[in-house]
Amino acid sequence: MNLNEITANIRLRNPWEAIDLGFSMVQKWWLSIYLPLALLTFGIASVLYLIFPKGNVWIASLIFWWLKPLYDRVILHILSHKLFNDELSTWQVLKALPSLIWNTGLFQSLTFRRFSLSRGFNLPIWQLEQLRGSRRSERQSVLHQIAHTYAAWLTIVMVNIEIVIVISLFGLFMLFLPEKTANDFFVGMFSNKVEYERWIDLLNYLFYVFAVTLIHPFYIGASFALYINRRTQLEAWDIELDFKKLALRFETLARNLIPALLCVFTLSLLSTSSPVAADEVTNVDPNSEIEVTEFLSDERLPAESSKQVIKETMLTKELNDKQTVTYWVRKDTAKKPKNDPDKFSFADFFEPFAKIMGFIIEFALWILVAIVLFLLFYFRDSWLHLFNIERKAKKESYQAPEVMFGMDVRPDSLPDDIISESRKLWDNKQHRESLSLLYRGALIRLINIEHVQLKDSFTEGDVLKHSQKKISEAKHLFLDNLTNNWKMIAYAHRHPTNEAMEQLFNTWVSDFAIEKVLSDLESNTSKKDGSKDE
Amino acid sequence: MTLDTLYQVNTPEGISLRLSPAGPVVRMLAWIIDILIRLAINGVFFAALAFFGKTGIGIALILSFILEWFYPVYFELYKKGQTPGKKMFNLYVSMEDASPISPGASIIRNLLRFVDFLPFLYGFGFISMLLTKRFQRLGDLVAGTVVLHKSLNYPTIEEDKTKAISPPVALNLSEQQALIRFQQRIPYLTAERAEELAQIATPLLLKNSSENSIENKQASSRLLGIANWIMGAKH
Repeated sequence: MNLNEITANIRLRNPWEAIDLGFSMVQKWWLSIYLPLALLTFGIASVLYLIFPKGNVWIASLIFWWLKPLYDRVILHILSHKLFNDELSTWQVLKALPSLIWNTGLFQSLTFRRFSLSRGFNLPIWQLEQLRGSRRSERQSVLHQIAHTYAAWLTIVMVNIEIVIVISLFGLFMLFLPEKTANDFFVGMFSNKVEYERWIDLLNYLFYVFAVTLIHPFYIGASFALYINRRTQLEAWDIELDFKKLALRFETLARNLIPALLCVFTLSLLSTSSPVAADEVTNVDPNSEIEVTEFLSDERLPAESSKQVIKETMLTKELNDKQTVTYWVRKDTAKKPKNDPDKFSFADFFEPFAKIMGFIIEFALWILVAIVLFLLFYFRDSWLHLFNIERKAKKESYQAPEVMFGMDVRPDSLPDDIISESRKLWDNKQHRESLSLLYRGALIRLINIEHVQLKDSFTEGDVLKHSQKKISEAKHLFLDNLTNNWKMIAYAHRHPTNEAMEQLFNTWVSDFAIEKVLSDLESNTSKKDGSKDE
Repeated sequence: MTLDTLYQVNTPEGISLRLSPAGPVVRMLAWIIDILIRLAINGVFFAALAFFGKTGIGIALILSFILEWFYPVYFELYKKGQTPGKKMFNLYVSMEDASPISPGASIIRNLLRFVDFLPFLYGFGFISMLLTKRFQRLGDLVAGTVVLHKSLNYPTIEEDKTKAISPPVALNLSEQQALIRFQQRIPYLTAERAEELAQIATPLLLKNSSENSIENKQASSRLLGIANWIMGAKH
C-alpha cells in the first residue's frame, strides 16, 4: 500500500460522507467493476439455472443470494487496486479468483458469518490486511468502535434498495404489458389459480441477478470507503499525506536554495526584469504547487472580468431587495434649523396665516370630536348592547303583553268562569270561539299566575317551549294538548271531538287551573311562598 | 485529480464553496424518519376526526393530502432546507449553487416525488441517484436542487500548553492547515503514531539547526509548537 498513489481524496469525513465516497468510486470506475462482475454473476446464475430448472428456480435464486460474499471479494479486489492506482484487466481479475476463494476467509463468510450486519465493513480486514484469529478480532473491535453502527445501517439500507430495485424492475415490466394481461397475471400470482409459467420464473430470476449485480458494488464500495475513513481517522492518513508533501518541498528547497539564489543574483546583475527571476524560482520548485486548495478557487477570474461579474451579481434581485417602510416619527421642533433672516422665505411670510388656519382647523376638528361623542351618547341604546350582552338582560324590564296573535290577553278581558262560558260556546257549536277562550285563558294564566315571561312576538310553539321550564309537567302536558287543539282549529279548521273537548275541560280544572302551591309540591318553599302572596 | 464527492461553486470574489452532496443511503434513512413522523401525525388526524363520522374522515383525508405534499415544502422553505429527518442526519436541501432553495424549486422537487416514486418505492429515484454525480433524484434534476451534508466542525480542543515556536520558513496554506489538523487530531491518535507522523515532517524542523535527526518524542511536540504559533499563540 502506497499512500502517495491513492486516487481518492483522503480527508476526514463523517461516516455518511464516507459512504457517499464509496458510491462515487463505483460511479467513476464502473466499467472496470461491472465487466468482470457481470461475467461472474451471470456465469454463476446461468449454471445454477441449468442445474435447477423448471419449478425449482427459487433454489437457484437462493444459492445465488447465498454466494454474495464471493462477489464481495471480487468487487473489493478491483476497488482496492483501483484506489491505489492499479489498473486490472478483466482477465487479471478472473485469474485472481482462486486466491480470492482460498485466502479470504470465504468459508466462514458463507457459513456462520453469512448474516453479520457488518460483513462488508469487515471484509478488508480479512482480505486486505490478511489478519486471522485473535489479532483479527482485536483489529475488528478497534475499527468497529465508531463505524459499526454505520456499517450495519448501510447493510440494512442496501438490502432494502436491492429489494426495491427488483420489485421496481418487475413493476416497470408490468407497466409495459397490456392492461388485461397484467391483470390476469396479478390475479394468477396471488390466487395461485394459474400455474406459473416458465418465462415468469426466468424473468424473476434475471431481475434478481441483475439487481444484485447492479447494487452490490455500491454496497462494497461504501463499506470499503467507510473502512478507509475509519483508518484515516485512526492513523491520520490525510496528515501523513500532507506532511510527506511538506517534507518533499523542504528537501528540494534546501537542495536548490543556493543555486536558486545564485541564479537570482546573476540575473539581477544582468538587469533582467524580476518576473523572469520569479519564474526561475518557481521552476526550480515544482512541488510547492498545491493540488487541493482548501478555500481558494482553482480557477480565478482576471480582475477586469471579475469586476464585470461582481457588478452583475450586485444587480441581482437578492442583493437589491428594497422595501418601503412607512412609520410615524415624532417631529422634533426644537431641532428645526432656523432660516436665514436676510433671505425672503415663502414659508416665513405665510407663517401667521398658516398658524391661523391651523388654529381654525384644529378647532373645527375638536368640535367634530365633540359632536361625534354627543351623537354616540345620544344613540347609545342602538350600539351599546353590541358590546355588553349582560347589560341587555338587566335593562329589559319585563312587560306583560296585552295582545298575542290578535287575542286580548289582559286579565280583565276574561269572563269570571272560563270553563262554563267555554262549555256554553261549545254546546252552541261555536267551536272556534270556545277553544279560543280556553287558550286565551291559559295564556293569561301563564302570564299572570305562573309568571312565564311571554312576549307579544311569540308563536304558539314559542309559548309552549318557553313555559316548559317554568311550569310543572302536568300543566305543561295540558298546555301541549290545548295548543295542539287550538292550532288545529285556528289554522286547519278542524275541531276536536266532544270527548277530547270534555277531557280538556276536565284537565283544566284538575291539572291546569290549580294553585302553584298544590301542583308544585316538589319545588322549593320560597317559590311556594311567593306564589301564595299573589 | 483525486476522487471526491465534493464539487465547487465559485463566488465572484474568488472564494470557492465546497459542497458535499448526500447519497441515497443517508437520504433513505432521513426519509424513513420523515415518513414515520407523517404516519404519526396522520394517525392523530384520523383518530381525532373519526368521531365526526364520514365528514371527519373526509377532512382527515384532505389534511393528510396536504401533509403528504407540503410537509417537505414547508420545512425546506422555512426551516433552512431541513425536514426533521434531514436535520437528524445533518442534511439540507439547497439550490445547486448553495443558495437557499426557492419556493418554486421546492414545490417542483416535491411534486416530482411522484415520478421518483415509480415504479415502486423510489425505484427511479434510486437509479437516478446512482447515475448522477451529485446523487440527485429526478425531482432534484428538474428543480436544480441538491441535498447537501452540513459541514461539521471539529470539536474544539483544550488550549495546548506547548510553547509556541515560529516556523523557520514561510508555510503555505495547505501546510499550515495540515499542522493545525495535526494539533486537533492528536488526542485521537496513539502517541507512537503521532511521533511517526511528526518524523515525516522533519525537513521542516531541521531547517533552523544543524542537527541531522530529532530525538524520540521531540518531533511531535515541536510540530505542536509551530501549530500553536500558526493558531496565534506568540509566546
